[in-house]
Amino acid sequence: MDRYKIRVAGHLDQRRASFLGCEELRLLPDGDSLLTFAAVDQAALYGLLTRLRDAGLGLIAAERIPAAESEDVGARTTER
Amino acid sequence: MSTRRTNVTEMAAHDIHSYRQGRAKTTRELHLRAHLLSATLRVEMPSTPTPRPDGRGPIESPRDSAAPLVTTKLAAPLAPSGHHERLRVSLSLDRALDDRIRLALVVGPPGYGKTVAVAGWLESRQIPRAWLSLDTADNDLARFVRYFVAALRSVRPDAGDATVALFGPGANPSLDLVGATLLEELAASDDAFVFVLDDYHVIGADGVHRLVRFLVDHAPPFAHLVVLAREDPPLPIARLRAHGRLVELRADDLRFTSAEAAAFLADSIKGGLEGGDLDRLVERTEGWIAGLQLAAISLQGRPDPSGAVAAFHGSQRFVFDYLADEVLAGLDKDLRTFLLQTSIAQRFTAELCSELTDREDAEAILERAERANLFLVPLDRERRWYRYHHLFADYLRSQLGDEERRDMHERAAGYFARAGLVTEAIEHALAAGSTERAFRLVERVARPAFEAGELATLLGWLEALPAERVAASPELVSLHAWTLFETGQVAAALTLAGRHLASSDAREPAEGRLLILPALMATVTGPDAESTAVEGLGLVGDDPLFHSFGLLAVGLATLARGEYMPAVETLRAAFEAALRTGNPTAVLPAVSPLGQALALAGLRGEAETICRTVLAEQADGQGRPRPIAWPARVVLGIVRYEANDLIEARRELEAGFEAARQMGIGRPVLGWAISYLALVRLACGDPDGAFEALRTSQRDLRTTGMALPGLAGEIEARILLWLGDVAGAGRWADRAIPEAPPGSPLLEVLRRSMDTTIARVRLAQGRPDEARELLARTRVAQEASGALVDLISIGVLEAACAEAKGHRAEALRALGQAIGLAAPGDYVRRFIDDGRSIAHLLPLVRAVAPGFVDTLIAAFAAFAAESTEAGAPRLHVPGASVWQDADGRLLETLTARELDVLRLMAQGASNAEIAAGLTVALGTAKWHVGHVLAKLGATSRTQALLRAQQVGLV
Repeated sequence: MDRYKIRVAGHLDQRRASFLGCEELRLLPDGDSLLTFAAVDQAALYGLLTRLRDAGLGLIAAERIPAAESEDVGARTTER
Repeated sequence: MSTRRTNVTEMAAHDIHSYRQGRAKTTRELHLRAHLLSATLRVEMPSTPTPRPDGRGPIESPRDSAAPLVTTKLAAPLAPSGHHERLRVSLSLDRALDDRIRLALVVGPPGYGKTVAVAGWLESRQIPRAWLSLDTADNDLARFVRYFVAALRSVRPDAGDATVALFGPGANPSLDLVGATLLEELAASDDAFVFVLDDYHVIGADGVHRLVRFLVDHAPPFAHLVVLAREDPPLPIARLRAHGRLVELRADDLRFTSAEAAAFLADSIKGGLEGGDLDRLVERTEGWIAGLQLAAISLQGRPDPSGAVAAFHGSQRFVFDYLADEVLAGLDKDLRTFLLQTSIAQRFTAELCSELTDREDAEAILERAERANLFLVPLDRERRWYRYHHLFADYLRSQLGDEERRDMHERAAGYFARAGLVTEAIEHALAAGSTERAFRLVERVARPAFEAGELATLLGWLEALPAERVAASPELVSLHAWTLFETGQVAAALTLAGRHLASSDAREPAEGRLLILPALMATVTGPDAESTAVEGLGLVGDDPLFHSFGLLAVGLATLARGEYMPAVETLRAAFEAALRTGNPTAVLPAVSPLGQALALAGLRGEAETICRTVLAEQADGQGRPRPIAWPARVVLGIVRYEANDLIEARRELEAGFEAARQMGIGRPVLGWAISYLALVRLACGDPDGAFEALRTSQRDLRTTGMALPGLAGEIEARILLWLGDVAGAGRWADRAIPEAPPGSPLLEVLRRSMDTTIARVRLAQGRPDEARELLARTRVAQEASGALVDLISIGVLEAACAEAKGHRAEALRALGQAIGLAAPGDYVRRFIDDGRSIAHLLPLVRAVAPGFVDTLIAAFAAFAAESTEAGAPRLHVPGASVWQDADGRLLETLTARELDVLRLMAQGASNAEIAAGLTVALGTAKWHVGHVLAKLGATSRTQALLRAQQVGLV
């Protein structure tokens, strides 16, 4: 399972992030949100991107988290 | 006579290959051949949508209860009150009409007012329009077409069901055909109209994309397609854009300008907003209409709008969430809970809302919500059905707890199930994680969905359910297996059927259907097929559709053994069972086997009547037969050939083959009829065309794993005889051996057929004694099987042998016997094909059947006058007519023309020189060269010449 960092425009709340199926939510000072998503496969990742589109969210970036870093990110506590 | 038999043979050889190799495409075709056509054409659409009699919702009364037509999908949404026409949008869309541009694309994220802008434009323009709001279920091409045609009826009220009728079990219409049939409906009049496909981004099915692309490419200029989507659809956008044939509206064209926002907010907020606030709002929302709408709602009645705008402007929250929070916070608890709970439904009525919220006053609350502009979209003028704006619904659902969400889905599933909207009920049950309920629902609608040909939908449901739960239901297992079979997943279908039958001791209707499936596949591979089918038939009970399939399996097995009269009886019963389904098109699967058996057994007239009846029933508005009726055309061609009506025979065979191609049925499957196509072309003086009919391309060889060796060789020998190449035909006869898998009942059938043609060759070689011996042997076998048509040919050939030996009395006896057999069914052509050397004897046997003999004499006279045969070019094929390359692969025979081309190629001639040398057009020369290369399995001229040298062709 690969983890992805997905950056979208605007701050989301935790409910929205959970509803989107994301593990973690970080609110960045520049007004973007950084979501962490564990994708079973590429289809799951594209499914998330579609849900972001359907929520009207602006996609800024999507990036795979290297395996080593992945644990670190998973351990980080959620910021609100 | 031999051709007839080989028909069965060839078809069977194909079956065996398909069966063994489990090739999806091939076996699907085989299946099509076996029961030939769809059993259903049952979807019938009323021309005008009517509300349900119980007033519950805008649902068509379903003839097909699996999938009633949801008419709210077909109505353009009403523009909200206070809606301003989007002038920029309208002017762009006007350009599509003015410049006769076929595609207008409106793409942008949700909330940019795509739907409202287009609906508003249509309302102000008064141009005839059709509207289709798509949802994910429309990824099933059959369903998409059903809705497309239903929507089309708003602009073409006479649009028939011809396109919908292309779908059903066993039908696999090509995109070209579906597209062409739809185009015909579009072009029924040349009044301009607009067809809107809303929410096109939900479509992922390649078939739907290809169909829409076809329409974009081919629609008449007065048909304007407007596609609304959240992402660029896979249509040829770049090409159309480059040619200026595309009207495009994207997010930047859709977002509100300050002026538009000001006008909009002035209507919504008393007194409007001050300039600074307005600018801040437009800046913060970036002209996103959904955001501005929410802002308007939350600012309504606020004492300090300026402060609210400032707070919003200063916030970093996602615009929609911020504003929606504000809006929800301003509502009373009742309304807020109501919105959250009802958000799980894609669309809803007050009644459904009551079900979800346990409130009696749902109607009043909905009215309140609509008055408050809470993103409630009415779906019909009666305001029965509503949905929330997608973005608002998405937001509301995100605010609902998991447990509550599941509970709501569960309630919705119950409601939709009671309302008969099973598709929705299943989706909600699955979303609720309530697999048991979903399972029961699927069990209820699987059969109607199967019969309506909505196989993708059915498979989707079956795969969403836990496998072990499906496996425990014989009913679902049987339909699952048949659906896999119909969708070309034959190996999976047979595995499923085999596993269930092995693990279950039950023998109920479901097991009967599962037994019939492999039996139909194996009709010609062995003796088991028949007993399996009989066992299945004993179980299916009063189920005309599967009864018909089972009888077809038995009848085809009987036919493959060469037992014609019993086959006729069984296939008649299959035909009658199909009639009992109450569906006129269910009879098509049975037409071809029955017609073929009747023609073989000498009942030509009955076959002809059945074909003509079917063709009359399956005619379109202009009286032309529909492609789906191809089996009736092919069989009609065969029986008209037998009656020596070459014009109708050729027309029907050619048209039948073309229609079969359009229906997605490959040529090798039609092998049983190919011999007739070759013979009728030959009889029309077109030997090249006859060879062409036999030609199995290298590609077909690869994909089907069969080369029709027996059939092709035999008919080729007859063509060689026609061309006067007795030596070439002799070489075939010297090496001909029947080819069929070991143990196959076909081997014997094939041998008899082949022996008859060898006798033809021997007779032409001046070796009548050998011919006579072969014929005598074959006659015994054919008499036992009641193969009347074969006996006619044998009699004619025996007479010719006797006459060649100077045994006049024996010749007359054999000829008289043949006439006695042929007269009742008017089998004229058999005499013309094989009896030229004895035509002068006809007056001597006139007493047997005076009318028929007079017909024969007239036919011979006409033949002598018109025949091109005497002057026909001679064809010399070096080596055998079917030969092998160094690797032992079977290659194909080149026609005379192709040999000429090959010789010129060997001399180094260019395409232009070949064209000049043969006095044909350049394109024709290229075409021939291409065929030569393909037949030699070569990718270049050099390679082709090398191969040709290896096998001694040049």
